[in-house]
Amino acid sequence: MKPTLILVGADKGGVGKTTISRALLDFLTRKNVMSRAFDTENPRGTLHRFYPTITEVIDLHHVGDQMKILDTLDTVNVRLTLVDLKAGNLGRALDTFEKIGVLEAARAGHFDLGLIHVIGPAIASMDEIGELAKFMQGVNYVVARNFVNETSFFEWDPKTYKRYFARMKAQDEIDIPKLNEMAYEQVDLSGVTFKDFIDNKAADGTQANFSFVLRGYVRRWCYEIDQEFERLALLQNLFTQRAPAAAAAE
Amino acid sequence: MTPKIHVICSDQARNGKTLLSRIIADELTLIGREPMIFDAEFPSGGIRLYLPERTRLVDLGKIGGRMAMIDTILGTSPRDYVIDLPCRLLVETFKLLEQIDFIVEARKAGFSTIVLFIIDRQFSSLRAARQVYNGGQFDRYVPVRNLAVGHVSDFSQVHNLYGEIAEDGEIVLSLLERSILNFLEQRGFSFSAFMMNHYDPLPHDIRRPLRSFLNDVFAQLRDIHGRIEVSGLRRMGLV
Repeated sequence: MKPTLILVGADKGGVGKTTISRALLDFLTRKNVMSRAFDTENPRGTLHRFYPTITEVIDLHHVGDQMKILDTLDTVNVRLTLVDLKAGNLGRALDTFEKIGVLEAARAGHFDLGLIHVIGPAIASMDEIGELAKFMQGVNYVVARNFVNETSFFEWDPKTYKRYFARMKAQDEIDIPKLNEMAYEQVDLSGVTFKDFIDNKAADGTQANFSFVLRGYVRRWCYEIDQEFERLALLQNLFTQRAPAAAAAE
Repeated sequence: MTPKIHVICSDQARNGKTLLSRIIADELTLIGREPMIFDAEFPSGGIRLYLPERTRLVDLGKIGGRMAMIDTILGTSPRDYVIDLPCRLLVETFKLLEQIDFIVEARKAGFSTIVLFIIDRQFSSLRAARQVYNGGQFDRYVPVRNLAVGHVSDFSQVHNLYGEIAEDGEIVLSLLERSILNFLEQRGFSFSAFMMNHYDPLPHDIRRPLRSFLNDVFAQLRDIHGRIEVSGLRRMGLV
């Protein structure tokens, strides 16, 4: 079965890349899709804090770390590899991938490559979209509008919007819904996955004492975000190619 | 008897929500159930003025208040609860309960949830009552008619609409004289203390009609509680 590599990135910081990576890993866990992740926020690794067992902190500009991701796509025992790109690193990472032939390999169908481009509530985020167009042939490009920490989002002017997307092909869009600030903060402080928070489990697997109300908000948020992820063609491929045992277990 | 969460609500103000909440709390007290009351009329408080020792004032417009109420109900030993919900928080609160799967979780924790909706004079009130009825999977939904405030203008025309939501029973609050209502509104007045003759001697023109009114409402409440118990036993295959 063809492996899938998903990059989650943005050239702007603080737009919610790691939150979306976490949400996606949670979603895949609920769907019984085995995955692994690379956190390029070297050396700190925020994603690693929430998914220590499946996440490795790497420096994407080290050849050895590039090999860890790319040379193992076919051999590793998971269907999906997610790379959470450090802020400001998206364009550079794609440039590197283009130079070393990763994008070419994806275009040739050796694996599925997706980019979830997280954009924040500023027009600068729209500029990023145009800058990425040259890399996107053969890449499943997804724009994620992140509402999670924002009470409001800029209004998308239809003309501006069309202008930015005119150069892109086959893009999908998802909206990451707002999550109650206190609930978001509590999950963050607890250092657990969204799923474990809902299930009232602490990071060490013991019974936690999280607020039912906050768990309810997170449960609802995950439900809404699941619906967004379910629409993505990139992820639907994963489900259709799933091993029969995993499908039966769901 | 299983612990019960009573949510007393309406889409309109000043139609007897707090009165009904007090009656339910006092009826539970009389049978030794030690209910806890959440007064959502924040910050002024409504029912807290009458039953301060049993009442916790919560601001359900804020997450802290929602956590204070819901986490208390689901996080402590089960007991009976009465929630006096102001009309301005009706839609928001039921939306919250639906969003966080409160009813299902409460059921898992052993509670039965009863919604008592006071239907006012306007047709819109019946519509609001039906929206709440359609929106939730409550263990019991009980429409309430308070004859002192009246009911939807021409009851015969809405009989079918009302009948559907009243199929599990209804509560009718009969008329009371103004002098009796004034007496009930005294701060700190308790129906359970009244029923135990703590306010005697009282004039006959208050004592007898009030006792009759309360006995009538208590009987209706016990009938509804009894039906819930039978449903529970039936679910377990014991009846």
